[in-house]
Amino acid sequence: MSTLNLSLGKASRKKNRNRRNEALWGYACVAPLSIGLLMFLAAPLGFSFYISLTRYDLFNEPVFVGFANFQRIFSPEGAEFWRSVGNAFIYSIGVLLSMILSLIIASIFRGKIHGKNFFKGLFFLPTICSAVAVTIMWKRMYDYNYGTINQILGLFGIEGIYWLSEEYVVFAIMFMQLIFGFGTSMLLYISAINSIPKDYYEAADIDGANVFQKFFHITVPSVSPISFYIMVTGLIGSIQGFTTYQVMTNGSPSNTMMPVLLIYKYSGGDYGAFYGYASAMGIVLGGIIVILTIVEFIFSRKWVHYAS
Amino acid sequence: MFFSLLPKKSLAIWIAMLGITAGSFSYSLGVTIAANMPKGADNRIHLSLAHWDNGGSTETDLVKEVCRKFEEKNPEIAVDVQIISSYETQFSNFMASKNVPDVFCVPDGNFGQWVKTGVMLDLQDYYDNTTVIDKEHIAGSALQRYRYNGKTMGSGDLYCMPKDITPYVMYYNKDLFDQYGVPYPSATEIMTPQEALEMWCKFGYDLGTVGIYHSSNKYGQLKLSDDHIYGVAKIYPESLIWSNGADYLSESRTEVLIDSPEFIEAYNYIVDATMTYAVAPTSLVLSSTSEKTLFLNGDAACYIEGRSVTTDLRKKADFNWDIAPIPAFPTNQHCNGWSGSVGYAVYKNCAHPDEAFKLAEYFTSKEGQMIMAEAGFTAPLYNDEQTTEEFYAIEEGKMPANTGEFIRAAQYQRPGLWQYLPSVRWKTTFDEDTGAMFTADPSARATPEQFLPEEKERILNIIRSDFPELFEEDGE
Amino acid sequence: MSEKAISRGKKKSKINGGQILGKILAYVFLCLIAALILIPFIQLILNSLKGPKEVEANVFFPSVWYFSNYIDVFKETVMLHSFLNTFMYIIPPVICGTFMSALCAYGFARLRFPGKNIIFGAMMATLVIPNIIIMIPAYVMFAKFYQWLGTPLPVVIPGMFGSTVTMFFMLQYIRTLPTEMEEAAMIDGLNRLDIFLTVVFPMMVPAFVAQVVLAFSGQYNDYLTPLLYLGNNTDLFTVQLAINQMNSAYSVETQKLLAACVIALLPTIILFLCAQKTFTEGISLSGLK
Repeated sequence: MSTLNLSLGKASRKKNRNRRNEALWGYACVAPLSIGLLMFLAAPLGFSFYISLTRYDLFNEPVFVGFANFQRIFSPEGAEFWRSVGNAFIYSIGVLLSMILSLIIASIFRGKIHGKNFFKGLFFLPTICSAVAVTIMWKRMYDYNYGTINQILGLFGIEGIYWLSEEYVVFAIMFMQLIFGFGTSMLLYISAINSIPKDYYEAADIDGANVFQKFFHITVPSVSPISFYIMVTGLIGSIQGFTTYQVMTNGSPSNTMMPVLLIYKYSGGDYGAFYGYASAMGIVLGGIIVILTIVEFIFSRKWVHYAS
Repeated sequence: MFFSLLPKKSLAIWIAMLGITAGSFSYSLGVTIAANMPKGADNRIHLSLAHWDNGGSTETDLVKEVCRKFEEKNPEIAVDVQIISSYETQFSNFMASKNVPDVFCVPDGNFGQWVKTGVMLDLQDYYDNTTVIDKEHIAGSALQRYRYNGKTMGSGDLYCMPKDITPYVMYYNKDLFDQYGVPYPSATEIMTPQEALEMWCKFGYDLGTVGIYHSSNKYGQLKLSDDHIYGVAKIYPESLIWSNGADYLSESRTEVLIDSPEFIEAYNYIVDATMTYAVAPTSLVLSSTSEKTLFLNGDAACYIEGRSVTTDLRKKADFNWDIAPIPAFPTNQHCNGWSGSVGYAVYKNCAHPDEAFKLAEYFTSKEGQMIMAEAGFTAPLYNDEQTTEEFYAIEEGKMPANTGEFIRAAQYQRPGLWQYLPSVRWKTTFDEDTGAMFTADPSARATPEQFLPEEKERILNIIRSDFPELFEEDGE
Repeated sequence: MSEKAISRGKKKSKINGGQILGKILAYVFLCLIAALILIPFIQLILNSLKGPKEVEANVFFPSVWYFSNYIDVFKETVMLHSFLNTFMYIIPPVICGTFMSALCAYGFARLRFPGKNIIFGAMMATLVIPNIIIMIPAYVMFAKFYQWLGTPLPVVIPGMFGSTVTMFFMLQYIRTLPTEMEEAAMIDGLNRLDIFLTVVFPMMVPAFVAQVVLAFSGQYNDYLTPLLYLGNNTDLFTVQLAINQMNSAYSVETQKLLAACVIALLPTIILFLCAQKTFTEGISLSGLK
């Protein structure tokens, strides 16, 4: 990062005073963010390890219980937690689907399309909409009696489906998240595809490659770094999903119980005030996310290098 | 300095940005300061009262009205009412901040969880010495649910003054009963479950055709004839289980009793009624359509619900309706449901505990009770003749005609399952698991005889991990 | 970039049947996706204009248009107040926070100081820390240590220090900027802060606006944080909390709930229509490493 620091040469020519002055300004510039991170990120992070070792209801003094909370997570009693983590992984399949969808759409946009900007804007629009309002809206769509989807099915003589029942709710939520959530990855793919050198495609055209060959041999490998980025952020986002699930079903049926929702319920919510246990679950979940990030990062290194 | 270096236009932008940021930030600061400031500068004693908004503005307006009357009577006290939303889940967090209101409303379902935090003042001595409350005629079930002996609820010292009891009754659609030619249920006699099943079955077909399904109704559940509607919008297991002499948990909450023969009998009845006779909707139907909607749309002839829904039905129902007691087994027939309740607790470190108690007891007193009964939201807590007559006079000419059932039900009905333990995870888990007995495919369905004994261990484990202290103290 | 695409299209003048079919398929596909996105919105708007009976019966098109639903939402619920709250809560973190991030990015990009790489590395490492770990302890700290429960401060203050992600994007942007003007300013004897404010920051305005717009929509739509800290007091509600409360309260009529949803959706949609380019470029920038 210092390659662009052209003042370097000048500073070394002048006196030490100048350099000290620069350092002071440097510290001043990074101080606010550093202080913020220390106060509102590092401190709670450290604190989390302490309260996860206690039984704490926020009102009485915390009682130190050692690793009991973690033991509970890894005992049969922690099954509900692992189940919620499993749910999160199931919903993250939606991330893959949305990657495929947005890559297809981004490739379509590579060609000449009338109303491209309209489509692009429309597809991206849902991602900046309030998740609460959007979920209420879709809940209405999925309603058994009054929902538009069952009404449309009714037009074709198909009997209505309880979309939010245990059997269908995974599909229902995944579909909603797919249709209303692919905008970001679509934009990322569009800019990635635009940065692919044009002569790749021209060379392929000369070779007589068809659309699919170009797609799989040029587009897909070229956008692999961005695919990796979307996958990591998408997976982590899915594991930390909360709003949709809380507004849509509030964790019932149990295959919509997400880890964050579970933690929320244990911290002064429906399941009582067990801040220690909730914090312990947070740490375990955070650990999973960190490990996933690192593993995928290592994998992506290979992948990205291979591509470029 | 840098401002002097800027052209006028960008200077204006900088100042505007700074101003907007500072302005909006000071808004938040202002809110914070206002929250921490003692209210009122006059020499009256200021009490804060926190209340939920679950009953909508009907209830919150009423509470403010009662407080106004209280201020008239006690000019030296001023009451600041704070309405708090999502009260049950949020107030436990509120308690952690230093600004606990002097008097706060306590739903009976949260009583256990909150009393354990030590935030409530023990009101037993105050109650013993008060003359405002007619202790002879007050509903015992109202007081009992706010008692705590340091370990379990239901006995010991009193911690809240009850504001109301919302007894559960069976609402029925008179027009539908007429249309199907079914005689109205008795206003006072409690039906047995068998009698109730026969009554509910009359809405669409006769008992002889059991099992021959016609098609699906518009809710996707199998129906037995074209004009088959639900006899009842929902059957509550609790009323049948309790009235049959069974219970979910033992008094100490350390034993799960869901495999007792009476419990199984009650569940067999519900499974039959729902899956074989289809007199009640399955939980799947109820997941997208509320019981109230079923009743209001005329898709269910009966509807078991609390008193508080009366206000709503008076506004929205476009048919004639009345109430009857909830059907129950004869063993313990007065335990035919639960009643919801809200009480008022006084903050332990409150600066004016005497005045705070005065406010809390005003809601419980006959005067406060009648103000609230007049609004149609609650039934009075007292069962003496005078109060009852006054209540009848208020209700005269309004639906339901069978007003007395509210008072009778309030007398006996017990607190709901949410009061058993400070967290309801055991109950939500149980409810979800019971789906195994109600699967659409009969071959995949577990019978109560199979399911309940298996479930027992699972529920016990949940209680054990949420409340290890219950079990520890047992061993001593 | 669309120009490029057009010029590409013109170059390939030979059009065969397969390409036309492909085009048609592409349009059908795009329209299908567009319909899937539009139907819920149309349904929402239509339902929000129906009367109570028609909402329950779910006729497709309202026979009488109840525009009064929208007025009722403001009259009967906390919606209006929650709008004021929301804007007041999010302006400080959005503007001040983005500025602080830009400042920090400037420090990393242009200034040399001992320990820079360590600090930068530590900041980047915080990106790995999932929010979920600190959710509960932060809550406990705000409740017990800062004593900020029941006030909007936990929602407002942390964001005012900036965020690592924004800082990182700003850093990428600054690195693309030329340094000649800064050098000239140095020779003029300006100090570093002045250089940042008068020379660098004006060049960063596009990135700044983009980040402000993104941060605004992010903060406006945030639900979990306000729910944790402000969920107990109607007076402090944000828009998101207000509509969710209406969703769970049984006393609110459906058509009014849906009207409230439409109102809640409007600010970000309007912002998006005004600054579509900012959004799309902001997102694209975030993906380019």
